[in-house]
Amino acid sequence: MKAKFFRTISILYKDLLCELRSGQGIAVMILPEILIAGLFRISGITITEPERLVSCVLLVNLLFAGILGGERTALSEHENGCINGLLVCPAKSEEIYFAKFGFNFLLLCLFGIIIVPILAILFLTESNIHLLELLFSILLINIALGSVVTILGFLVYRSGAGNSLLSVIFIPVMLPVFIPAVNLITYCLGGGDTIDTGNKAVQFLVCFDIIFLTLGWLLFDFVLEEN
Amino acid sequence: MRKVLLILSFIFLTGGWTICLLPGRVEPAVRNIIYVHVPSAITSLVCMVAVLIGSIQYLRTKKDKWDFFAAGSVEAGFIFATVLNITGCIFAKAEWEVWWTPSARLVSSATLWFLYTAYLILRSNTAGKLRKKVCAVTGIIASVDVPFVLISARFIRDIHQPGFSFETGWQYSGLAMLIAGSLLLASVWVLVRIRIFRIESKIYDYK
Amino acid sequence: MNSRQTNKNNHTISESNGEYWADNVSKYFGEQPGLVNVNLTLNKGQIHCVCGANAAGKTTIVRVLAGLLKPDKGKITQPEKKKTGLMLEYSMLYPKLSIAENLRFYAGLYGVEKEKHYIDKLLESLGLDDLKSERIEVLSAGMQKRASFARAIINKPELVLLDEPFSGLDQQAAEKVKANIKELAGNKSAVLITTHWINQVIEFCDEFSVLDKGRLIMNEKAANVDKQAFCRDYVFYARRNG
Repeated sequence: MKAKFFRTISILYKDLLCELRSGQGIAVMILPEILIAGLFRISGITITEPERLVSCVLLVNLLFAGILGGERTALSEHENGCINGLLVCPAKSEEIYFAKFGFNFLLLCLFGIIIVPILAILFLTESNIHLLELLFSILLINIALGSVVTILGFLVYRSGAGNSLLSVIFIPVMLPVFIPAVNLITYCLGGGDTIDTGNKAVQFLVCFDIIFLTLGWLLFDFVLEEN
Repeated sequence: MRKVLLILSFIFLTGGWTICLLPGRVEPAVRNIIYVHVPSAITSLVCMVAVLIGSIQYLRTKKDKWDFFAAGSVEAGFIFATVLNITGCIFAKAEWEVWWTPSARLVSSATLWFLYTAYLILRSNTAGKLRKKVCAVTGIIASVDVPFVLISARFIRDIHQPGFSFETGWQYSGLAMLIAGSLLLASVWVLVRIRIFRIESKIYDYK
Repeated sequence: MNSRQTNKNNHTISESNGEYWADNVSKYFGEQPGLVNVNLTLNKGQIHCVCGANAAGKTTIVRVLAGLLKPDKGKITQPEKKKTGLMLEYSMLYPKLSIAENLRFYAGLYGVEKEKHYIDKLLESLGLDDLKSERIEVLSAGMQKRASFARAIINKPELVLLDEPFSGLDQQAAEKVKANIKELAGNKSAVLITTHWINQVIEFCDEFSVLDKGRLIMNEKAANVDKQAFCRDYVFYARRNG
């Protein structure tokens, strides 16, 4: 058990180190999202529910950051055939999966920490934010995004179908997360939704996270194995 | 088997339409599209369950017949999901004066269609033995996602509610016959496609 | 007789018998034969060379023995994962990490005991000690090849599979790699080398095999073969087959 945990952490640490040195991933994820948020603001649309708008923009940004992250996770492992190095070593597919999930999750959390204040500054005039609830909600959403994009990123890459296909399959799968998450984050930002809606959304997201983490863990072996 | 199912589906569909358009007629006339919409919805959901079964069985047994079954079910489900969305748009226009609105049902239908489309695109872009495995994993993820789609759609602030419900026994029985006919038609499609996939794979092996 | 287990891929995992084989193995890539009814035995302490033209099946046999590919027919035996060393045509090293970081990472995954300066000694034996802090992406192809070899043997494997280990190496580097291979064989590892160029390996291999379009057309012990004649015949065969 200790060895498994150590291997998972080793792979995660290796990914974080590579990402830190490349620097591309974070810049590629954050800058376009800030620009998109700015475009929304500049467009002059009438904002009747700023909290709902912020939650929508945030979720769209997280969705696309997840797609970019998922593509990069799969691509980085296939550079120089490194995936074969992982496949022949004692690391099992579930250890690789959880390491990759952890990497995507941490990257999305970092992204969330950076983008939320920017969106709040751009769109919110009054601040009635339930901060702890907001952080918790973003954590739940990132677990969902990370668990799905990890397996789909590898799946699409190994299929050879082209990374653009990742968004085609990722967005419909994530839509069930998107809908309650909008309500939840609207509530956390002090919007009009009730705490009851928030609680139901949390229960839904927890359920989604558990099921798709388990599904990713079970199916990753099939995605990695060659014929 | 295929012929028997085809004949049965013809009987059910013909009988069902006869009942729906005569004693089971709904007013105004455009609302009768519900007799296409509901069977399509149920059939496309049943096809998704079939995809789940086929995909799991393929990963377990590695037998091609399960991959063919899943792929055939996806194609049938895609057709019925397309019909579902089109009829949904027509119904929305008739009821709420908009072609599309983010209501629970329409969002669920659209997501279902996109999941089927994603599977088909992935299948057509992947080749060889890897395709079967990739499609099986995709099929499982897509079908496990469907209940979440249906549940999450209820979070949408649905300001549009259907303005009528069925009242007479004729309407219910007509609808039931059409659902049965659609399911039988879908199963005919799946069986035909399994046969075609088998022949294709034999030609490929022969070459 | 040591106990044997069968893993989920129907490969026999040998505990420590030191003998590994491919038993009537076939592998097809669509219509193309990768391997056809190949029988191969690798004994501990011996260096087995597999030669062949392009697309003969050399890389395929390496990948099948490593467990990366499942054979369509036949069986293979292989040690536990942590006792197999593999080197392919690509380095399997992370470009953003240094040589030492890559080796430490893989050593951690294999659970290699942390002998003091083990990685340093290994890199020194391959002439890479001055470059251990350099990132893989800045190294030349030859240096990456040597680093890849270091990665393949970091876990002191019982079965070492080397796909064209000498390609891209200069004479000096090739001698260092050969010295390490001989040391591995001396430590009772079974070594499989694949190569286009028989003259690189002729003097230190114990057994030769030749693959042609997936079929094993020759399998001889070095002691039974006139090496010079074999070399000559092989070169002639290679030229004739383009």
